[in-house]
Amino acid sequence: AAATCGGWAAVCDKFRTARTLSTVESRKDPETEPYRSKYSARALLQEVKQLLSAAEEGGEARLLAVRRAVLEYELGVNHTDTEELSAGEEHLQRCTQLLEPHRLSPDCVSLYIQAQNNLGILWSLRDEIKTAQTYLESAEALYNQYMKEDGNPPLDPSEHFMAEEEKITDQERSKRFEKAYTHTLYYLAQVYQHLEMIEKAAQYCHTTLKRQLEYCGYNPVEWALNAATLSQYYLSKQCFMEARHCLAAASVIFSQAGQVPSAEDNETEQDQQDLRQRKAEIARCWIKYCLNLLQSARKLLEDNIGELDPDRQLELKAQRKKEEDEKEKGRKKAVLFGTSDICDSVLAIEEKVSSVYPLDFQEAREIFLVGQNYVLEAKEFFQVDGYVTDHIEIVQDHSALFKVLAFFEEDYERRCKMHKRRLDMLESIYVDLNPQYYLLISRQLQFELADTYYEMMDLKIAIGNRLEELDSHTIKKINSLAQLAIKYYELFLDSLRNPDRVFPEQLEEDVLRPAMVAKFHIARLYGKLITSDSKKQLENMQTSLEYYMFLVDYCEKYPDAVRAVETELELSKEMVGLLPTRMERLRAKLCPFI
Amino acid sequence: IPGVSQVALRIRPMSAAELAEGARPIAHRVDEQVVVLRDPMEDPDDILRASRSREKSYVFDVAFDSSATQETVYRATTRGLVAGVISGHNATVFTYGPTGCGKTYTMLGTDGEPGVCARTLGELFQAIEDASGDTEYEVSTSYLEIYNEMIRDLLNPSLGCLQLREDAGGTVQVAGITKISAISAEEVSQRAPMGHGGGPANPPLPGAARLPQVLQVLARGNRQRTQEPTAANCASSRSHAVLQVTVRQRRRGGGLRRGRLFMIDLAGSERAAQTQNRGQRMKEGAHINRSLLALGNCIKALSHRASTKYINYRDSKLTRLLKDSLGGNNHTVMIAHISPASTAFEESRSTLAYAHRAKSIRAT
Repeated sequence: AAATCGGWAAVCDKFRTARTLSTVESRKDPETEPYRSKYSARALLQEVKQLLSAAEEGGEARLLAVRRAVLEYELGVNHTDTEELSAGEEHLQRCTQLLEPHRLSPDCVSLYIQAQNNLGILWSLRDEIKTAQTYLESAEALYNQYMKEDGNPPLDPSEHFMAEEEKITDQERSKRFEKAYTHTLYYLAQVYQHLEMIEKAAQYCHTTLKRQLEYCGYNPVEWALNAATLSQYYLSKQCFMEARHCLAAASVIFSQAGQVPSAEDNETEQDQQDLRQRKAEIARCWIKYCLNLLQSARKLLEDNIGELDPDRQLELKAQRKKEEDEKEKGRKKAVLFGTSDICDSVLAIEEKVSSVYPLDFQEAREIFLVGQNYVLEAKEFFQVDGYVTDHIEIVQDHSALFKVLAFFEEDYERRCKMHKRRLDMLESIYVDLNPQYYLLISRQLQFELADTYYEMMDLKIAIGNRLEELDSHTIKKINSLAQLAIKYYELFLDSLRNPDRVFPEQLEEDVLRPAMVAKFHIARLYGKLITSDSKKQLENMQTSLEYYMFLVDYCEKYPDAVRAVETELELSKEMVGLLPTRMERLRAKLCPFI
Repeated sequence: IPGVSQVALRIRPMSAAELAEGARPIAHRVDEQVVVLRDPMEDPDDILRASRSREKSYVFDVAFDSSATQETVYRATTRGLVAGVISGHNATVFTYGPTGCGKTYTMLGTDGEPGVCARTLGELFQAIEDASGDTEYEVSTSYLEIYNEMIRDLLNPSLGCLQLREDAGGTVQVAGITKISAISAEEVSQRAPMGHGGGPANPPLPGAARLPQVLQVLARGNRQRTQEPTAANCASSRSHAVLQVTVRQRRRGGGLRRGRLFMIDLAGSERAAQTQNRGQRMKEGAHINRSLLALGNCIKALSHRASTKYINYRDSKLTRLLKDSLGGNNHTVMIAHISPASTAFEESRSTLAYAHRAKSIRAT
């Protein structure tokens, strides 16, 4: 060991200076010399290395080896940071070699794991991601083994260059050790993602978030956003329980942000603005949650004409009773953001909305209302002025919430009311939109408006059919709805024309189906228009026929299009066969003597 | 790239593979300086561009297509640098572009169609042959590869990995690299080469035999380049090959001048290209981000697979080596390469945009 106390203190000082240069000073290095401080740090580390090898006589071989290992580690990281990967690798390998026989002991384990973390990073910089994976998984395994076999807070590597009285507390040691392991898991999350092992990546991201709460220190706004974003991943996998948990935790942690007094006296206007925006973004994630849950339930419950199937409903309700919540409890435990102080708050939010599929109107309505509340919250920030696209997407989500709720509603009149709400909100944003600059959104709105009018018209007809006879008021209503649906379908089809106002010969893949459906619906709508004027009726039938013919002709010309519109095509072919005959009969009635 | 004084663009001929997959040519050289790239697909939702042409034109200092010979390209780009190097200035020629678009062909060429390197060396050797009696020249050549931040001497790969060293004058050298020298004096002398070194110098080669022998050595060196079996074509795609030619001039009566010419065959640029949100998505670089601040990006990417990756070049080995060549007393020529095929549209567009931007960068 180094000869005198004073000598050792000097060595420690040098080491610490080197570390300060590397971590603190280096951030201030100018762009033209980005590694200036790191090179200086390197020189100091080399000096320390020299001093250590000079002090080789007698003394603790083990202690010396560990100290050397610390230097090799620092040099390894230093070279990696300055993009000298082969030198970096050499040093890090030497570090692990020195520690190998003692890697499970408290004075070495943390350093060993950190060295492996850095080797993982290094190999990733060489685009050898599988090699990176082996190092990181090895670090992971070592942590688990250490915790199982020993578990005591191990020495932090920096302690090897500290005087006795400076050594840190067990609590601090544990904190730093856990932080190192959190990084191992975080790096593995990135690795799994690059290897397209998405589920595993998500799991490790989740664990990282969890550990940030427990060990790492975190920025509440950032953490909340990350948790909310992770919930969207879970939604894509239909894992509603996990999604809800993430969102609830996000909401709870986010609210912490408001409470923490900021460093400066008054938060700037910009900060306040940012906070409001983040809140609204989390609200949007909640909207997606409610929408997804309702829509997934719909898929399970609908029959082949899109109506709620009562048998399926009974089946699923029975199944729900039987289902283990043991399994659920197990899953929940795995993902629990479990720090005691937030547990209760998170639970409180979770209890406000279900995470199981709603199976009837009551249950659907509850979820709908939660979603609607978040719509209002999101719209507070994402107003039309300044956030057109975001605002419209929120309105579209609101409309979708109504649409899916209508599915669960049995009463047709009440369904109509829901669709009317949709029409109002969609039309009010559509009317102000410039179709030249918002082409895609314009089309979406046109189509959705047309579809909604179509749906409403069908409902009115169904309602009317229950009565003995359609009264003139209802007829007028039906016709008006049909005309409006036609109007919007036509607007949609017009938007597909090229700048010379010519309808494309062949339709692009992403507009093929909607265009065909539009044509098909228009054909059907002309067939539904009610008029006492036979001549008008004949005209409508002729128009209807022309639109049905369009589908048939197009699919003949472009057979690839068939699979996009199979059902509609079949019906169109039928109508093309039937209509001419009907029209003949009608013509004969009009002019019986010709 | 600091101080680019000339940007050239070369479109190679369509390859057999491209023709076989039914690709159409979408890049054309319109005149001596203009290249036009046509977008093979139309985005129906892109109303702002629907009425505009799908073609974009780029103006360079000089443009070549498959009708240009190696000699043409050499004359238009590098030849003009030689005189400067001989009189003591520095210069750099880069080839840039995705793998398989002709960078190595431009730089090294083939036996029958030698590229820029061979022609430059030929010109240099000729110049020193023609030199008057009171000026003595020495041309020394090194050929190295930078791969994964490791420097390898392609003329002596067994040396393993070499280090950079900065000398008192601020010049960055590769310690221990092989230099092949040739001196203008008629007699073959065993004189040690002028100036500093750090590595073994081969004895100067006699007279007219010099050039072909040097070229042979370079060809051997090129075969030593790191190959990757998974690369798009057979050539190495991640190694930069740097041919360094130093010309030392000593006049009788004093004055020692030194000019350096770097000819660099850059690694395939396809990794540096940004992905656009259309059909084709390229695999991003798999670097691990140290900072937990990037956790958000990781999580976002779980739901959307593709994300653009911006690669930061910062004080990397290549730039350090060229430090005294770039900036100030120098001339830099970039020869960008693209394929004319419709299947390479994204890469071509990136390369053209990048090269075009390089045109507006001038050394201060």
